[in-house]
Amino acid sequence: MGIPIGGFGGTPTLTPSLSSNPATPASTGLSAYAADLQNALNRSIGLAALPLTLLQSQQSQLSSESSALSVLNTQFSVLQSTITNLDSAARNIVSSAVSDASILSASAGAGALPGVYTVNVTDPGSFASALSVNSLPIVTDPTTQNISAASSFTLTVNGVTQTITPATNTLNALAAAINADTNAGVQATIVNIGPPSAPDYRLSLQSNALGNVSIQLNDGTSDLLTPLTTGTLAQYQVNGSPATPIQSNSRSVTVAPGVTVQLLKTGSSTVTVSQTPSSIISALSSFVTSFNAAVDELNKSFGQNSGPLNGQSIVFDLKRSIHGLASYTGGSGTVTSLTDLGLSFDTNGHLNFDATALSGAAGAAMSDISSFLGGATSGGFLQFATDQLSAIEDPATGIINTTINSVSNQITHQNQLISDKQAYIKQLQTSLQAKMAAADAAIAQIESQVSFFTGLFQSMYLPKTQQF
Amino acid sequence: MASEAYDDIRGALAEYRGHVEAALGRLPSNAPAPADMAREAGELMQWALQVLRTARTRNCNQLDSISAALLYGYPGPQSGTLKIDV
Repeated sequence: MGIPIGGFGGTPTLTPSLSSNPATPASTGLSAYAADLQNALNRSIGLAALPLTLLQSQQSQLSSESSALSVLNTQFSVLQSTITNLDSAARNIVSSAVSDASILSASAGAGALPGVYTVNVTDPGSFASALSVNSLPIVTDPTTQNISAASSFTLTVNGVTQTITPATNTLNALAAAINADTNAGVQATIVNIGPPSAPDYRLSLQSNALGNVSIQLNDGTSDLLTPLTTGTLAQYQVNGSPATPIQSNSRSVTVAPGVTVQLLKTGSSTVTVSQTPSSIISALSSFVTSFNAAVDELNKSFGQNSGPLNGQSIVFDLKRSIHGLASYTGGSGTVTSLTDLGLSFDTNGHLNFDATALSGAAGAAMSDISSFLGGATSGGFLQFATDQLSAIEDPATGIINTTINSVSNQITHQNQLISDKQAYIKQLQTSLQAKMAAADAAIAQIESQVSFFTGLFQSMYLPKTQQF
Repeated sequence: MASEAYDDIRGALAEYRGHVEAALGRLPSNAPAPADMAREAGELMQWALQVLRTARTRNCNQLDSISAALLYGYPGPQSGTLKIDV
């Protein structure tokens, strides 16, 4: 079958007009560039023209949001810590002062009542001690020698025994092993009681408790220590009582609820406990500073040139929470709001703190302050603030962290979209490049064929006008 | 050619060349010069060249459009808000 060639206007088949053998192009079956695939590629290229950079722009926006949220998280975490500090300050509004710091030192904490306490130290007490006996081998070098060749020892302190096993057979190791035993009840040292020309290192043990404490070390054969000093208990009276002084095996004693003294030497000293708002003033000042910093950070998401969180619900939620924090009212008496503590707002939404409102507080005023503040778990402003900030800052359920996690998931998804789009485009690019290369090869083949036909027909002496 | 079935083009060109050679080979020695055949073959080759060059240009443009997509971007959304005082 011969089909005449219709020139460039039609779609000629590759069939020579003079051939008696009908020839149709052999089909090779599925071609890589068959019509269906060509149509699919055309549609794909259209889709690929969608702006990849839009996805990347969205990704950049999400990253900016994540960074802004992290900054907010930090600011509110700091605010949360100031509430914790304020809680601590509210529970420690007492202070103490002693009349004679050489006789005793004092500290006042939670539960301490204002007042003057007189502490009479009749005996500051002493510690028992023991020394290794003279009959033991002389140790001139505690790093290589020992008072006994035993590998294990029994330490007995006031009838309570401990097994001591030094790491090596040296006096240093023996002392270290005793000190490493937290149940030993003694402190081991090594002392040189010999002259420089004849050092004589001994093991010295001192009890941790005051009083007549028996101390002995046995190597399985014999006792190694001799008592050096006999300890005495500390004795003291509080406000002249009891008649027979109180005895204590420790120099740290509690003389009143929340009032602890350290007995130093014989004598009498007063301990004055008073309530002071100084710790509260300091904590409130820190609270105001961090509050204002949080407000400033939130304000970056509003107005012209606002940050990446502009319009996000979280900034409205945080704004509402922080407003509620500053607007809290409660308690009774003279202090029912933060304003009564000397806090006020300026026109920028910042808190200002006038400490003079608190600095002179004492007595009933301090009680009202404590009532208003309450505690982190017991009520009042502190519990309200603690709960509010916990709802914001909780690592698992806080609104900031849940939002951060949400944005993080979106970024991950966006990254996947971008990666998929880039891979898709690359696949199309590869396909198009292959097609262009194939076209180049086909063009080269045709041009070669043109040259061949030119030579072929010219060899038959065709007129010049009929040559191509 | 029109469907860019490049796998088939190579074989078809070779086959066409074979047909032309065979046709010329069957001409008697005293036959006139095959001017018509020469003209048809020439027109067919020129048409094939034009089609393939057009296809190649289209593919090249498509490749450029994909590359241009990487440079294309939309500006961020604009939204006005009011600063809220605490």
